Amino acid sequence: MIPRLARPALLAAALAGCAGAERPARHEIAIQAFVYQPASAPVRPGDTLVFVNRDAVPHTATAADGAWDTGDIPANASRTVVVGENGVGGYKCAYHPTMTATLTQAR
Amino acid sequence: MNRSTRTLALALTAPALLALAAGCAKDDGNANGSADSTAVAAAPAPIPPPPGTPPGVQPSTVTDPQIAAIVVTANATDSAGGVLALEKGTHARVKEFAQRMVTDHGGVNQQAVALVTRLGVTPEESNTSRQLAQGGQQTRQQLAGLSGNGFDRGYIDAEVEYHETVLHAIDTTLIPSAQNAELKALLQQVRPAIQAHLEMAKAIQKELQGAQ
Repeated sequence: MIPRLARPALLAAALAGCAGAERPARHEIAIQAFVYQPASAPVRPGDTLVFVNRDAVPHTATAADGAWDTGDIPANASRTVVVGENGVGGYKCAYHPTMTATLTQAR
Repeated sequence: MNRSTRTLALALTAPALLALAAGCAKDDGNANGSADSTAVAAAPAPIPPPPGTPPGVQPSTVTDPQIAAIVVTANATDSAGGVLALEKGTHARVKEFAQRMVTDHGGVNQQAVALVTRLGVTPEESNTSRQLAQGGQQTRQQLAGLSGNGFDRGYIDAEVEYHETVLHAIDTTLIPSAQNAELKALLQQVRPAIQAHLEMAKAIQKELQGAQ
């Protein structure tokens, strides 16, 4: 029989066994004054990106290689995408190509 | 930009651009633009005029109600130009840009109107806002007489000139003159949009020149 006090330790050990798979994270990326903030975000596959448009005009966040696209993000609205297996790389606003940012591989 | 196209752009935009570049000077709201109009009391130090400003024109300040009217008019003017370009433009990128001008300037104007309404500021016409509206109308009339590549180049050249001048006016007259903090913040928020539009227009201008 396992002593009552030891149970939490065993549970922690069991959970640690799953440590190889990081829990997906949620990243909020603001769009304000025609800039993505942060301009560079470290991500892992499965993470969720929430793009929040704080400008008065619509924007998008569109992968440079076309792998993913938020579609139209109206003023004061947000859109969510999940990072794919090969989701890192540059992205831009399809409406305003001067707006660019990058997703990097998290360590 | 080749010489003939440059001349066209300047001819098309001159009234509206001069209004923004120099018309803010001593803008007393007098439609006749009398030469002896006086600057707003307690005005900040005069701001140097942009290159090309006619001699004798000294920039000064504008009031918040006048700034509100200038912002609304400037957005409406460029949005109307976009509507024309959607109709007459031929190059895909010109039409995309035109749609962006309609959408973005419409959005900015909604934001501006909402702000001045909340602040209880009643936009006040001035020489600048009137000349902007008149100049924009003249520009559209002249562009309406063009077609095909000539229209595309004329429209984009005019947009480059327009956004350059609006940017200069924001930096040197409108933001420094704005007294209300939220109105000043609005202008600061609008500036990146104008900068992005300018860079987009320049890229298309370069592409059109390469296609000649």
